[in-house]
Amino acid sequence: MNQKAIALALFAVVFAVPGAFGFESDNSSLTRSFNKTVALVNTQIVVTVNFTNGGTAVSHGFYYADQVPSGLAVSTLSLTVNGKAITNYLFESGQDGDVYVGCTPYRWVLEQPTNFAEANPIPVQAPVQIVYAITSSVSNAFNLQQFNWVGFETTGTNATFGYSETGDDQLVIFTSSGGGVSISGQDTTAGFMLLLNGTPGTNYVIEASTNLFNWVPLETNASPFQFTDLILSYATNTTLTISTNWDSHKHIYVYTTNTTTTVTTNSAGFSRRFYRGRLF
Amino acid sequence: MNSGKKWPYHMTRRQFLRNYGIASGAITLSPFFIERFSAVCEAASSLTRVYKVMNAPDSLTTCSQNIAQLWQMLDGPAKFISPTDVVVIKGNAQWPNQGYTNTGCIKAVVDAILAIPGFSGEILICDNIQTGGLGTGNYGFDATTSNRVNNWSTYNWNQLAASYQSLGKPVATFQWQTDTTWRTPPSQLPGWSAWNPANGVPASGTAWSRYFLNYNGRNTYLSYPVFQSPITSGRIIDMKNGVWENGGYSGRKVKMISMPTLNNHCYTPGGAQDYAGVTSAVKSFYGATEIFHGSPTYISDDYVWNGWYSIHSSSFSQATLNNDPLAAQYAGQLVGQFINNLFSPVLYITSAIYSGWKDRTDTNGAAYTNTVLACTNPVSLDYISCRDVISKVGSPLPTWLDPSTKNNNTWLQLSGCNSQGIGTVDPAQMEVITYDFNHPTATRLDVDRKIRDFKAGTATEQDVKDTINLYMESE
Repeated sequence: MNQKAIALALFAVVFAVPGAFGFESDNSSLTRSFNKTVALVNTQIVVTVNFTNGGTAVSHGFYYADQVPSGLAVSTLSLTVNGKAITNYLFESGQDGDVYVGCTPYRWVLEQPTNFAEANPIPVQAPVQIVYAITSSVSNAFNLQQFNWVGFETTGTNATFGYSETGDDQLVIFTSSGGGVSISGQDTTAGFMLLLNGTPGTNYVIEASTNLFNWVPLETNASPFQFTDLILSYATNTTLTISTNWDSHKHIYVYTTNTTTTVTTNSAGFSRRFYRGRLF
Repeated sequence: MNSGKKWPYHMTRRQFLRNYGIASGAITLSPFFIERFSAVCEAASSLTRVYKVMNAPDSLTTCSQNIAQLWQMLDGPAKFISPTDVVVIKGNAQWPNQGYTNTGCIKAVVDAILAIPGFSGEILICDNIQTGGLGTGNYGFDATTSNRVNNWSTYNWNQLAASYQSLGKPVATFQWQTDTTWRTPPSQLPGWSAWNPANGVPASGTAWSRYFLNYNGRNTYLSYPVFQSPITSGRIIDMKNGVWENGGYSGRKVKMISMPTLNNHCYTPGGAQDYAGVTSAVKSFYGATEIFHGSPTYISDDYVWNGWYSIHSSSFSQATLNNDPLAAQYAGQLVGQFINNLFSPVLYITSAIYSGWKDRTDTNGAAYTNTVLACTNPVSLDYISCRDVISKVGSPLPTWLDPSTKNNNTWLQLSGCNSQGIGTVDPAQMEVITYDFNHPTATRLDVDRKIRDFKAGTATEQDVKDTINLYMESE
């Protein structure tokens, strides 16, 4: 029985993940997005918050609060109101568990009551953009869940606010190396068995391809898990050769090929297969 | 402008904004600032919080609003107490009038704990009066009506507990009694003569686990109570190791909330500084241990028991006898040893409805300060209580109770305890969060919590807006 453990490069999923607020007390809107959800420890994941004042009056005393899992460091990268960078805002942090267990509140306060002397009002339909970075010095998965905003219309003394819902949760992963996920392959009589190891409890997908361009998902599950790629047509005395290869981007793949003339296919109809694992 | 939150280094919010808000904005221009500003935020989040609530309008009647507001600022008792816990409220019981912990404040704390959803534990109001004080009818447990001046007049502690029991509530008082039976110390110091609950408890209901150490050249014992629950037969309360029942530790936890008074320790009529300074959260530990006075009847605070000193004789008594000016510092250090090695309360709540600036019992020497304070360590709590409350009342002002001057026994007591790693005496490392019923305010933390409660279905949208409006209008 051949056995070879091949470390696959982590396919860091690089895309923005927008999160729209679940509740607004007026017609304002706010989204929170991440430039990526997996990063090396001590490197940044950039979070962008976009708010638009959908109220009927200028908003004063605005602040945005993000309940950041304790253990993450937070630093501001930029803050603009109506497209213009401002400098005289307050950035503050609370203490672990102040509002939610295991989280530390971070707030960006554009103006403070009662006289709002910072003079950073948000005109009607004007945007606010807050860009900040989160980093971790240790490998871990963090679920950024709760966030909210608060404003005040001084003319009508109307309080406005909004907050996130469950659908706005965002899991981010900080990993100690590019090998945050690995799969190993092993030939068995039942088929080709793959074992995926990544961040425990995090969902990964094993995919297969015949050409390294088109990938078909085979199994999605929480790490660690195993999956057997069934051989549907199997020739007598078939020997599967397991090889490794590097692609042009230095990703390592594990693939199998049949040395007999009998064509074997897996459930996806592949006769020669490359496998990879990545975050789902 | 002030929203009730004091910023570090005695900065106003405006000053904080000017200094750090501008710096934070500069991050966009200079990556060099990122590290520095991040450090600033880290420092802010590590401040020790002291909560102060004052001027509730009901403090002369029901005495509940100050404490209710304090719990709100602390985010509720469930943050400290689980539904199955046995809760020990350790008050100061030894002296009458303002000398014992305000019964109304205790009641408000008990009410909040009983309101924890699914609470199935016990609440025990305890203290060891060390066979001292002025005798029957003069203690918090049994104070007669005439000895409830500058306190809650309706009930003493025993009556309060009885009122709960009449309603079927698991609330009782328990007066810890010093065990007069000597036990041989361990051969190695520091070391334990721990009480095994499998042996039950003495007839008094209280056993003690004793911790022996050499302190400043004096062999010293500290001890904590292991006692029979007055509510549940067969249940033994071990303050360090939890609840013992059915032949073993059950896993049910014991949590202590310390509820001290705020008084000048002085014995001299007219008010003056004595060897202790203030008697409040730090000094209150003297009622959580044994101070054996030589026999079942009182002989002396200075008693040395088979060559071993109590917390009192090892600090105050011996230093005073030797004209050593550091008595209060030694007392604080030994309390620090107690907290580090015996057990530590989950919360301290100081009842300063009245503050005896002259002493603990003189009814004309106490001011109606109408304040309660809370903290998770006794040092910072006493620092703020003394600096901001008791040293600000009386005539002449009892400036000897202000630790910020660093030249009095109160300072020695608190800095001594702090030297053992307990709390902080650096006001720059404290954040005082104040609520004044005469000038109601709300903070951003209040707003965020109210939004959380709205999401959880325990507050309404209007509740959130009311809190935001209060925050926006807070001076």
